[in-house]
Amino acid sequence: MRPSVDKLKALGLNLPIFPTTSVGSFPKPDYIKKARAKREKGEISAKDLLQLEERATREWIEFQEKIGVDVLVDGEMYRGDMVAYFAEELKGFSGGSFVRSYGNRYYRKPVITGQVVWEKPMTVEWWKKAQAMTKKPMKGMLTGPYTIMDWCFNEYYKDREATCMALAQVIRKEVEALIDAGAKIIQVDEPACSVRPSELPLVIKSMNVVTQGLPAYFVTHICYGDFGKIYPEMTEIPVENFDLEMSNSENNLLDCFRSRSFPKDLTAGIVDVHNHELESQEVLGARLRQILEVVPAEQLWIDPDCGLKTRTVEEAKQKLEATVRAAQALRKSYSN
Amino acid sequence: MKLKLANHSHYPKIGETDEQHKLRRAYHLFDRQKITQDQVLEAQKETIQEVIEEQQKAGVDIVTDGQIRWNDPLSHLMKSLEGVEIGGLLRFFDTNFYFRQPKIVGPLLKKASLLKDEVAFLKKVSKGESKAVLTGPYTLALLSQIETPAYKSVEEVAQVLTEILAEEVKELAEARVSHIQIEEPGYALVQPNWTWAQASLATLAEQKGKSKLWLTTYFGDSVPFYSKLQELPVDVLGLDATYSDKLLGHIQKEGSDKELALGLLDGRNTKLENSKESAKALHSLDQVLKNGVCYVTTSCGLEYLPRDKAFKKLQLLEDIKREYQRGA
Repeated sequence: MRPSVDKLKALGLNLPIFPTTSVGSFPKPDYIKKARAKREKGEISAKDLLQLEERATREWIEFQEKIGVDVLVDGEMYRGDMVAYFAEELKGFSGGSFVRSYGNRYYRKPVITGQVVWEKPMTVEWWKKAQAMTKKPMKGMLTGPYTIMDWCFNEYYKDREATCMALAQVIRKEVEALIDAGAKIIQVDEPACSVRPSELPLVIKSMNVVTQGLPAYFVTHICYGDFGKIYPEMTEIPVENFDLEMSNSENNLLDCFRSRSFPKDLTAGIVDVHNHELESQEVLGARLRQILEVVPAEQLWIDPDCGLKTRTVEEAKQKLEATVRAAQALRKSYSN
Repeated sequence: MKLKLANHSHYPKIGETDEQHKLRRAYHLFDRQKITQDQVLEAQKETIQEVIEEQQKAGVDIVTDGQIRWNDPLSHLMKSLEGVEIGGLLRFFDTNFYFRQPKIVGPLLKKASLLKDEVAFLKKVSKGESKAVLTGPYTLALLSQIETPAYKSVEEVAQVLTEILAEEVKELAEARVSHIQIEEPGYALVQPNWTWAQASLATLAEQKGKSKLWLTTYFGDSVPFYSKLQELPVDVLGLDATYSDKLLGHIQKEGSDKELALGLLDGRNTKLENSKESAKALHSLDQVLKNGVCYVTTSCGLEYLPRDKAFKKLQLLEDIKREYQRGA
């Protein structure tokens, strides 16, 4: 049996073959978008917004349960951007302004203006609320130190390494707080990890600070990068599971895994989250069969390529449901 | 030496105010079929006018149109070519900005002018010198995915793109744009065959007319291939001075046969540089660049910064020039 399966069992988690999950974010329903805008203008209270965020979180959890997702996420109804959220919660940052990431998509890029300090848990209360809404495992969702460093402007630390290692210390504190609260699967996203291949050792070193010796099954999500330049070394990042976008590049990543087999668990993204078009079950089945030619079945988890927040609520639901249906069909064919 | 201040290339499309969000709103509404293509075009034109005004207000001598109509440095040019399909998102070098990767699926053919309308508008609304920007053939080829047996290598694709872009350079020169910037950040990623690069730029230079032809690299240390860049047949070499603290010393030692455009200010970080130190760095090159013009700019386009910070970086160029002249 693979060590990662042992770890899951030791944590009391008994997942089916081809576990299904999501990368993290779901689109916010219109009532949340409107409420957030009103909150910014001071037209509603924080409590009013919180109630609506809880309602939206519950709706997404109910949807995931209804369609049969195995490892759930809270959908991040209370977060804006994956880096800005932590920048708002940690000391040492000032609020950023809009920067474009692609097409007509913008995010607020934070600025590090002082020493970063973890003052209190940032995600734990939400994790507890979400876990209380389901009996299925709820992932703890964090952004990794390297990505926070890379996606912020830095006006304080002397260089990238000093910034990244300072952030690793604060993210570890959050991981410890999640574990104390009962989280067993924790995802620490590092989508920036392929940005500078020469800095991969820094990604590994900082993730080691985050995960070393802690009793949880760790996942990292990495997307839209040049994996050819960091594979297989990237698998030294100390986590059990790599959640990778596969469909965006039409499974081209498999070329890497053919040259050297993928040594850890792989959560394969099988639907494109930047496209309105809903992939057919035939397409998803073909993608999965292609992956299974290279990756052993017991290592494979399944999800969409990336966070679904870029889609409309309806599109996101359709894409997630299609993902789960494809996984269930595969599971059925394996049990036969 | 004489300093001229230049905007590097792109500029933030939106800012913090409601008015500065008009283009984002227009794309959003167009996506939902609530406004027409002409209305989007109008929003683009208004934004271009605003960003040109901002550059002029900051004291920039050579303005661009901010590449406001571009989604990214690859797909904007490649989408107009026959033989290209636009594919998935890929990170642009080591930034947190993503481009849609062109897929070369057949023989490449230029169907229509790529930038004619954009440059005509830039000329119409700007005063003084202006610069048109083209992603270079090598970078376009290097970052595209070749999916056709028609081409066997990046060099083959780059060669065809050279010929296509040469036609474009000719049109830009005929439109009397003062400067044409060929951007080749790919040189720092994977160095090209330099004999090929010389021939490629010679093909482009043949069509430049009275315009000044710039070759600009960024996102990497150009010290290892500085001597190769000096041999290229261009008027101006644009260099990113933020990646290596050795570049200015290297220029001081090796000199320059060409006019230089020095990217002294970090176009990717909000921290504002010390203008006195930048002016001092420029003075260190006085002896080697004494007879020429030195263009002072940012390390790369400014769209990686928020709009207000981009404006401050441009204003800082003016401060540097003032400091430089004070110390002359």
